[in-house]
Amino acid sequence: MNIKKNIIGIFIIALIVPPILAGLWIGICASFGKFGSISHGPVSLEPWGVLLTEPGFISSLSATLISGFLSTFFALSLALIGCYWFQTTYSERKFSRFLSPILAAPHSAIAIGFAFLITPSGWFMRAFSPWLTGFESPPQIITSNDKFGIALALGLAIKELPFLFFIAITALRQIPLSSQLKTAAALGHSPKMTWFKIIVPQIYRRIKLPIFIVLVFGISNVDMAIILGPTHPPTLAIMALNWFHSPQLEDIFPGSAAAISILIIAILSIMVWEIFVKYIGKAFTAWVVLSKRSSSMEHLFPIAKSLILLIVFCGITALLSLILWSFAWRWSFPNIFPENFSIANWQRAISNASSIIYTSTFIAISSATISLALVITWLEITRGKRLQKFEWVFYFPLLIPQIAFLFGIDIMLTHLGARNALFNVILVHCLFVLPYTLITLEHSWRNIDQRLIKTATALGLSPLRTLWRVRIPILLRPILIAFAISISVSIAQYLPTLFAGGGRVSTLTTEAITLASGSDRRVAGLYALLQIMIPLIAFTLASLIPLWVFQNRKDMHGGRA
Amino acid sequence: MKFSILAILAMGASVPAFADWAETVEAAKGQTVYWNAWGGDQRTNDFIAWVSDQTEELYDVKIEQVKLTDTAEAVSRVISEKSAGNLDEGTVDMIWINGANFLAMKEQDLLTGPFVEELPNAKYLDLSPTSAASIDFTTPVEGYESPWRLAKFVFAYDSARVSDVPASMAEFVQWAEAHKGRLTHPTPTDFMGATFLKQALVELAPNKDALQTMITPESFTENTAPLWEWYDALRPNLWREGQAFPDNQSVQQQMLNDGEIDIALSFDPASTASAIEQGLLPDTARVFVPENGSIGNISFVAIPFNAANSEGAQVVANFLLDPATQAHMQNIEVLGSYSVLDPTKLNQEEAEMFDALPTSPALPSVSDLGPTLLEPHSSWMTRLTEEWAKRYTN
Repeated sequence: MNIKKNIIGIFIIALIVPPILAGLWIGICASFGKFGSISHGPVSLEPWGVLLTEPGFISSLSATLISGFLSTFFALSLALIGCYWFQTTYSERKFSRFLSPILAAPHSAIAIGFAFLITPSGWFMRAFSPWLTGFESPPQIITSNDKFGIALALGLAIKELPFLFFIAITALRQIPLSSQLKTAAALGHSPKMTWFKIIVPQIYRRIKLPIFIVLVFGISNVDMAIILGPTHPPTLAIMALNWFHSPQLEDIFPGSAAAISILIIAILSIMVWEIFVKYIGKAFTAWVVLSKRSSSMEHLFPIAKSLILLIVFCGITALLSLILWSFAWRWSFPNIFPENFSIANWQRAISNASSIIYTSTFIAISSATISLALVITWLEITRGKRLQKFEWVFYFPLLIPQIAFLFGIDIMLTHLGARNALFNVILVHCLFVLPYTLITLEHSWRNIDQRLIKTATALGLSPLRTLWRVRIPILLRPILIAFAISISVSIAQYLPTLFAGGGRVSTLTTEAITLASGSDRRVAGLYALLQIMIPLIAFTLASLIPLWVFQNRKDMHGGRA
Repeated sequence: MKFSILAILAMGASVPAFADWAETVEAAKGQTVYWNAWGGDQRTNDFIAWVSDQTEELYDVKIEQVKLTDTAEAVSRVISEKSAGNLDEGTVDMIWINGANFLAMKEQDLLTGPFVEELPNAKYLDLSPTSAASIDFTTPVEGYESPWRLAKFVFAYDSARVSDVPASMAEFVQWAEAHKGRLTHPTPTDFMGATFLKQALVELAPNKDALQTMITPESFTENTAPLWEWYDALRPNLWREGQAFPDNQSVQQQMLNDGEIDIALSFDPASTASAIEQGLLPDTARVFVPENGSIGNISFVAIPFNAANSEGAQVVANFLLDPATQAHMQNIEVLGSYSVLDPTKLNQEEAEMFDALPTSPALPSVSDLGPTLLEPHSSWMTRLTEEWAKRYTN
């Protein structure tokens, strides 16, 4: 029995790890000039030479680093301090009402909306023109697509703040919060300083993994960088993508070098981050010992509060602007609202987009179902087992920059003769969906009241029936939420869809990003809205279904993800 | 009829008889053609969807548009399929292509062909050796790609904001000085950005004949020196002082619509009229062309060597050349792209379909457009963009 479980567990791991390693290996080989039939001669450093001497490489590198670190640092510090505010003043419901749409929206949708807010002809400038600024034409200032990647960092922060925030709140539940706060208060510490000195480090320790995921995404993302990032030169990830898509065959080599360099940068960044935090931690400990019970640090709290409000405001207005654009006909500077409205965009979309909506939903439901089945199997067979130690490999796909191994996976799929593009997309999506399914479900699954399971077993239920009759019904709400999150992760995938689908699989996200590189903000906005709607429907169903199923069972409403 | 059969027999085996075409049409039945085409323009996407409806009804051939952000994506896909040994089940059936991408595919033997002369509707084309349909960026087409829409380089501006427009590329320098930050061009890694530089090159190069031949280091230095001098004078007065550039012409058109800049550019003389029609540019937008003419070329469709649905792709290529299709395409309410057919080869009925199309003040007449200048040899574009990147990237 045990051996059987181990075999299943190893099998699940084998679904994830070998493809990624093989993908990486192909990329590394290509970065040294070895690639299938077209590699010429022995191992060569030339691709790396091409990369390093590419005009603007240094600017590209610095924009990559700035957008990665700035966004992570910004979103993280606001999330850590923001929890305080949430914990003391607001109910979860009230807060998540504003954060959920941003959380559910794919990165590219937020990017499209945010780009419109901040461009010199954008919504913010329109709100003050010409009555205050005197601008009849948009001013000559640099906002989006700035050289340093700051607009990109802000866009990323908008999207990552709610993510880190919810993660931090989950971590908060594992900390004996009220007793610690009470003890500190009894010793005369102000609640804010207690939060800062005692609680924040405890949360940080628990959410390291998500932080690294955010950091790696910030360094390597393509979806947001295409829309908000610098263009001349672009970030490294876009540079790599351009080489991969060049008509010159040899460009695969510098493209791979760029992709592998992103992997190296990601690894180094995590190390630098760790060292940095270690030293901050030391200084922090010294400061905690020496500082007063209340200090000027408390001023950070209202600043953080206004920044959080600003970020959430940007996210929500970005989404609102998409709604307006999708119904606009003409909307020119400096009008704050469209001159005229039209439903023509929607009419055209209904006839053209229905098959794309269908494809996206099909991919999302398939990959979410596969991931959920694998995760439940994994959680069941690893209960109290050593195998659990290997769980971190599931986060591989999120910790390794996508672009470093997707090209290799694509080549591998072609070699294996896997030519059903839709099938390939679903499989590759699973790599990125599964870790999120696991992260959302793991905690509630493992912390279920064991007495219920024991009772069921004592009453003679087989393990399978216990799973089916006891565990799943009790955990219905977290399971459905994990499923909804999986759907939203799948809907948002851009690069995996592009590579695994060979461009033949159009989803709402590939469509929205392609359209964002065109001239019609109305259609781009519309597709971005459609991108958000599917996850929102999924989340709504996830919260309604348990209420309906358990309408006569009051105690079953409380289960948390 | 008798004459045409005789003519075909006389022309030998290279031109197949109608029987062959009938076979192609038969083989194409039920196929789905994966047409890889840049997807950034909704009207083009809609037009392709319309074509699919028509070919499905007429020939039982469906089209699935693979929307690219960059045509090179399709080329690299065919390359990777070839290197993976996929020789007859290719996933790319047809590509909207021209210039460097065509040259790259033709040189690497990645295309099916020659097939154009086998298309019944090829009779409407001017396929003489020096015609625009026979030479793609100085690369001889030789039947490896079939024309579908005409491209000619034009500028667009908003006549409500700007009254003076430059009459030549040289005059852009003074114009930009007078309108600081109101001019830009797409990044030259983009096709249109490169065309902006080429248009200036064609006007400024001391030895214009050299542009039509393979580049040499000497001819490059000699002929681009005035261009860089011109660009150095222009750049400080560009949008964002020439430190950043829009990704492509669509983004630039959006910037014109937003009023961030005053001049956009396009390879489609009708694009301004159709953009107005769609609410994407103000009603006051107009088109202008440098007085001595502008670069022009034709957009083609090509079929990769390993296309799984090659027959279907030929049926689609042929349908695109049908006078009724071309007239529908030229309608500004549909796509507004100029026809690639030779007007002298149309009969009266066919010519009338074009005469009956609606007009617009933003639609330039053929005489407004001035002479069509030849594209430089493809090797120029590659070197030009490399040199530009080296000089102006920091």
